[in-house]
Amino acid sequence: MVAYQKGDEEAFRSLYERHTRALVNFFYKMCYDRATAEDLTQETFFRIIRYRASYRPESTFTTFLYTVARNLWIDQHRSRKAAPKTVSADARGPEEGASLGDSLPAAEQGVLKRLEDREAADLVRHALEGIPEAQRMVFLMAEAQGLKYGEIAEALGIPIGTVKSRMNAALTRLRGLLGHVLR
Amino acid sequence: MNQSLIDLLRDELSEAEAATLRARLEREPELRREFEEMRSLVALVRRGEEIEPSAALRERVLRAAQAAQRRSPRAWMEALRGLPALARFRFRNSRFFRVAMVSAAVHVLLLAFLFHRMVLSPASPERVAETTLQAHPEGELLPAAAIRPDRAFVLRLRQRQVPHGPRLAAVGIPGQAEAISRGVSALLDAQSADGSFETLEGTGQAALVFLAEGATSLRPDPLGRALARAVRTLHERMDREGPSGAGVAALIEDYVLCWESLAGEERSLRLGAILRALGRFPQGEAGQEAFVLARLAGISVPAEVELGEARFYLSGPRETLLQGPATRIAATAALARGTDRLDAEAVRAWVAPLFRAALDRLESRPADPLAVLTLQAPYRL
Repeated sequence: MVAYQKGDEEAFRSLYERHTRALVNFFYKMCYDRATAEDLTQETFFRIIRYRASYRPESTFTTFLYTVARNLWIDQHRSRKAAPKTVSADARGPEEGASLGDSLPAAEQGVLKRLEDREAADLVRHALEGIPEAQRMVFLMAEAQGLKYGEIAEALGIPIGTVKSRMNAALTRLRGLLGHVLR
Repeated sequence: MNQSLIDLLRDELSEAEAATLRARLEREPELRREFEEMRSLVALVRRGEEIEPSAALRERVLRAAQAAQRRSPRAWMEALRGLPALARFRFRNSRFFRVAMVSAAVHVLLLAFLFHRMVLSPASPERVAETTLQAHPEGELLPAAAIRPDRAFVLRLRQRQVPHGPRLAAVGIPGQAEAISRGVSALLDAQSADGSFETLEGTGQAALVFLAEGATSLRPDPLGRALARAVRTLHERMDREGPSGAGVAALIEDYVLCWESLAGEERSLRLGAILRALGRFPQGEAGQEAFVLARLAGISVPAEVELGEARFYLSGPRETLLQGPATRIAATAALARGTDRLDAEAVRAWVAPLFRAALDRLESRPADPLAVLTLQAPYRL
């Protein structure tokens, strides 16, 4: 990021390649909507570009990135309440087993493997949707993104103790929701 | 849940603490079982579905980074063009946008005040008539807020008793004038205005609004407004009955018929007026135009799919081929024609002609160069 601040475009490209997939999936697991996840990822990077001068190397770039992402999520969450409801091709209705996207042709994976993965993904999705947003955000930053407690605390602007308690609460709740699968 | 176990799992303990806890796990099977379960839980969650960022996203972001380095506002704005949700972010910090919002709010307040004084005021004859007509059987009056503008139109029309025959002829919708005439007569003869507007078919609603506005000849603007109002009514009906509700499909057909009755140029001009009423279509004019083109091409887009098209993204590698609002609506139309797969073959067979038409429109008005770029990709399949 320091190199990009000095005008190195390749450095930004490298940051983009390294972090995009994780960031898209972070947003995706917060909302389970592909379009929203890409919107937010794009806007996060735009903000990074726009405010690149404000980055200070005392923090890691990952912390900076997720601070922006978290602020963006809060903004989006506020405006989402007033927005008209749309239907996502990724979304599953309560009685439907598959989304519109699932009706697309199979990839090269085997049918059984795909079914198994789909089942696991559905279970995880429902479980994640079942935990409060604040806990889910901490959990996803920690487990899906691999951020340390300190980085999460800095990104979210909360004490490390709160990060730990939210992590604990998230895991306890997930265990309650997914425990039957594990046993 | 044991916090130390979570810390161990996350590698957040010091070496000494971790060694102590591992030794304890060796000694205590119950604790070990809990740790293993936690590890399995995390592994299971990590197995959850993952998505791949699209190539278009990468292109936009990297282009924006280049534009920022070159300090080119034009290139930056081009990079910003993309997903519709971004409009919110782009305008939120704009001084112009804030001024426009304040100005709009002042205008709305002024209009609301004028409407209240001129239509809903207790002293006005219209208000007296409305309250009389809307009285409950028990004599209790409905609150003023429950009176809808559409109903006010009906009531004004009833009071005026204007001869509507000649004006109906001016509506000029082939084969519809007689039916509309019957519908309007029935409405005017009804004992109560409650619900009458909604029961009238779409063209009837359009003609009624046209008449209520006192127009003596058909010009594009009154009809555009009338159609927009009628489309809004359709959506209110969808809200009540659901997108598959009885009569909803027929109403859509009516609106298309109205639209088709306009001459080519006027049709294009009125597109915005008609579809601005469709607040459920946030993807911009290109997608809306594709919707109308789909209808005119004889492709019946079911209402429930129609509502979902705004966020029509496809999984897997095809996602990169099927971006852009017009493509999304075209893909929706293809699905609605009965195919349950959307692959290259389906795009060729169902979407390409429609796509070509949408692309021609876009190229003639290059307001969104990125949309054109992304639209070209699937057509080259």
